[in-house]
Amino acid sequence: MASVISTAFTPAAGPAIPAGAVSYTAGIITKVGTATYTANDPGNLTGVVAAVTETGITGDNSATWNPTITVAVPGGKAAGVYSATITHSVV
Amino acid sequence: MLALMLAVVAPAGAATSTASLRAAGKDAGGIGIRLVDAPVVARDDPRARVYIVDHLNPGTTIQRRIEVSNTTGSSQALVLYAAAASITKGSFLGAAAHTPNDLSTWTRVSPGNPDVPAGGKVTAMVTIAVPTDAAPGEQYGVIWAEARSAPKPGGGVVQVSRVGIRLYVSVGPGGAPAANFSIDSLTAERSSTGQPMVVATVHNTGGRALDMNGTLTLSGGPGGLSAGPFPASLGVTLAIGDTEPVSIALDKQLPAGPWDAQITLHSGLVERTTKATITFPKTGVAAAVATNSGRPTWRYLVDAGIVVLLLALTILFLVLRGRRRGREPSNPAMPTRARHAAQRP
Repeated sequence: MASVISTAFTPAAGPAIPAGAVSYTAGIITKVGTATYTANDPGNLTGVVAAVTETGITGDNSATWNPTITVAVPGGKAAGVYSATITHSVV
Repeated sequence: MLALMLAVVAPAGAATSTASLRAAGKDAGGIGIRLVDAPVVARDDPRARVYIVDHLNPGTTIQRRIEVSNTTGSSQALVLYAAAASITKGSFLGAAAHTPNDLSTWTRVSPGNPDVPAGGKVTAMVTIAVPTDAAPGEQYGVIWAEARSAPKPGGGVVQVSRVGIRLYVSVGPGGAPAANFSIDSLTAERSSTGQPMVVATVHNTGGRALDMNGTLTLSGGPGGLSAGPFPASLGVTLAIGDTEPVSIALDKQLPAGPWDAQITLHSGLVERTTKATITFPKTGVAAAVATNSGRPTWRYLVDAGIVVLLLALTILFLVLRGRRRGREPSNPAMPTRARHAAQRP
C-alpha cells in the first residue's frame, strides 16, 4: 500500500503551519496492468495515511502519479520560507 | 519475487522545482527493494517469499538477504533501516520516520547507507536477534530503503520516498501458533456507479496476522449462468482477532441473481471455502447472508446415523454380555458338584 505523511511547515522563526493544513491529491493515475487504483486524497497529512489504494491486483502491475500538495496557509502567518518533509512509503 | 517500485514526482511549490522535476523525463524510474532469502520450510508459502514471515524462539538470530535497486538515471544514496509497523483497520501501515518498536530494535541492516549506482543493485543483510527475555507474541515492522531529496538552501520541501519489506515476526517457545480464519457472511452490494460487489466478512481466529486474497465464483444464476472466478481485492491484512471486510468487484453486466456464490480465500497456506446464496440489490447494500461450509445435509444425516448405530451396537453388546453372565453359575463350587453328579454311576 502507498501511504504519505507530512511534517509541519516550519519557518526560520515563528509558529509553524501544522500538517493538518496540508492536503494531498493524487491527480491522474497512469497504470500498467489490470488493477484498479483509487486515489484516497487525504485532507490531513498529520499521520500516516493511504495515498492511493489498489484493488483487483493479479500479475504484474504498476502505477504512476504526480500528486499535488496543497497547503492552506492560515491568516496571520509571517512571510518567509517554510520547510517541511513529505514522505511517501510503499510497503 | 516481488519488486516494489516507487516512482513519484511531486511538484512541491516553487515553479523552478516543478520544471526541473518534470524535465527529468516521463520514465524517471525509482528505487526498489525485494527479499532474496526465504526459509526452506516455507517454500510453498507465497507470503514468506515476499515478506519476512517467521516464528522465532527467544535467543535465536536469523539473517535474510535483501536487494535494493535503482532504476533512476543517477546514483542514489539510500538509507536502509528497520522501523515499527502496525495493522490497523485491515491495513498494514508502517509508522512514520524511524519510529521504533521492540522488533525494530532487534533488527539491523548492513550496509545501512549504500550508494546504489544508476541502474544498479546492492545486496544488504538483515539480522534479527531476538533476546532471551523477549515477550511472546507476533510483532510487525518494516525494513525501509529510503531516498531523500537534497534540501534546498534556505528551506523548501524535502521529499522522502521509501519502499519497504514487511516483517511479521512471531516470538515464543516451541512451534508457531496456528493461523486460522473463518468467513462469516457474504453481503451483496451495488456501488454508486452501479457496479455489483460482494463483501465477505472475515474473522481472524488464529494466532498469526493474515494477508487475504482469493476468488469468488458464481453459479446457478438466472438462465443457468455461471460467472467468475473474480479476484478479491488485495491489501486487506487481518490482525489477530480482527474482523474485516474483503471485497470482490464484479462486472456491471451481471444479472442481479439469485446466485450461488462460492468464495475461496487464503492467506499463505491457510485456505477456506464457503458458500451462500446472494442477490444483488438495485442500489445500496443487501442483507448479509450467513455462510455454510458447503457440506450437503445428507452428509450430516449419515454422520448422525453412524453415531446412532454405534450406540445401538454398544447397548446390544452390553445387554448380551449381561444375559450370558446370568446363565453361568454364580457359585464357583457348583461346577464341582455337577461333575460329581455326572460321574456317579
